[in-house]
Amino acid sequence: MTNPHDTQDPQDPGATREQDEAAQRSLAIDILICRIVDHEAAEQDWAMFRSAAAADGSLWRSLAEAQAAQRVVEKTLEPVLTAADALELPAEAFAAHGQQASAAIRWPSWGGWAAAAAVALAWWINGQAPTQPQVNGNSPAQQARFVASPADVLGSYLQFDHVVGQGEPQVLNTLETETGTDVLMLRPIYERIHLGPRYETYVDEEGRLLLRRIPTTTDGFIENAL
Amino acid sequence: MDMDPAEPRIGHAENPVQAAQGGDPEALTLVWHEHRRWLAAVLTAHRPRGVEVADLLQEVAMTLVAKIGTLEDPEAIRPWLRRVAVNIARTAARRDRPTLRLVGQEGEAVEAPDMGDQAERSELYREVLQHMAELPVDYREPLMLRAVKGMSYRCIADVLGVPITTVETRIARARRMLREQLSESLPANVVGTVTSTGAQP
Repeated sequence: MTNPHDTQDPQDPGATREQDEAAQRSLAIDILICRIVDHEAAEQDWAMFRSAAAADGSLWRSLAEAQAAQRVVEKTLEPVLTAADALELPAEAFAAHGQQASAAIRWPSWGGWAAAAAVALAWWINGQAPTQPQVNGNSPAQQARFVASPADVLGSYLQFDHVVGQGEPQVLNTLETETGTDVLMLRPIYERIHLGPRYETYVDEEGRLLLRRIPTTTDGFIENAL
Repeated sequence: MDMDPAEPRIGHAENPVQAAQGGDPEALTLVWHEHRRWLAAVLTAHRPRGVEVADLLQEVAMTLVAKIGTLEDPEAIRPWLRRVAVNIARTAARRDRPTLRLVGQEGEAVEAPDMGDQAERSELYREVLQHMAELPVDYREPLMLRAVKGMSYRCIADVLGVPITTVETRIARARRMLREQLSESLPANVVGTVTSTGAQP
């Protein structure tokens, strides 16, 4: 255990190089108190604390306050930690784990994010969020090489720059089965596509916003629904 | 510093990480069970407003299953998992993810339970949460990790990838800020006197 007076934190965003001696002493005392509260104090830490407390009796109250604050923090976090204890690995991904390990890294046999999105509905219904974090700085395409589930594929797709976001899922239909309920859902994905200056928007007779290419002398006329 | 007997076992030679990487589902479950509590603390420290820790933790679980094979050094499971958790929290902050609402037969919305409900019933705990949320994340995270049983300073340093002295400094500063903010809120009988928590040797 190091001497708390020698403690420095080069990565500490709140630290300044010109901390005065009093602030350093105060920090050293705070560290001693923390060691005691956290059961990390050695005998010499206790000796240093007693010595300091002999000169400043208020340190005993500081120690009591630090203990109380820590108890409150622990009680505040306890519901979260208890809930974490009840959270098991997702069954679908768990079942696929053995196959994934034996097959090593591979592309999914089916292609296309739309198929992934359709299959991933079950994940949504089960409360699984089909998103994929950036891991080890890999790009979405690189991450897609390691996916094991449709939810992973969709999650990777959603991280591409042209994907603006997802819309509110809509329940289209439900079907009662022997084991539960199948739900048919629509989950829109908003995307931004850059087409350049040769296109313009217009509204058709049904009020839909559409896009059309400005005709030139050399090509025809096309239109696409957004 | 002595090893805390309650400290998670992961990170030693005969750990289940390698077995999990080899496809052993029981080992994978063991890895998850040993890390999920402190991961919940990390996510609580980093989660954006309006996002449930439970949702983020599920994503961490999915990533663990899908990506554990990509972990090059099994000894580095803690910092790897912490990086995954922080990335997931940051990604959640960037995206505009709608909450799934399934409408039941009676028309009521079905929502995931809030893991913080119990704590938030208490005025004091709500205030603590508010004050903790206002701490710099570099202070908040080690303070929350220390609230997880078995997370020693050494363990926290391993998770965060910083020296133990840094962990001590950050916890001390976080606790000082929290004490100052809570000094008027903590009931007198809560403060009391030095208890067995800090039993002298």
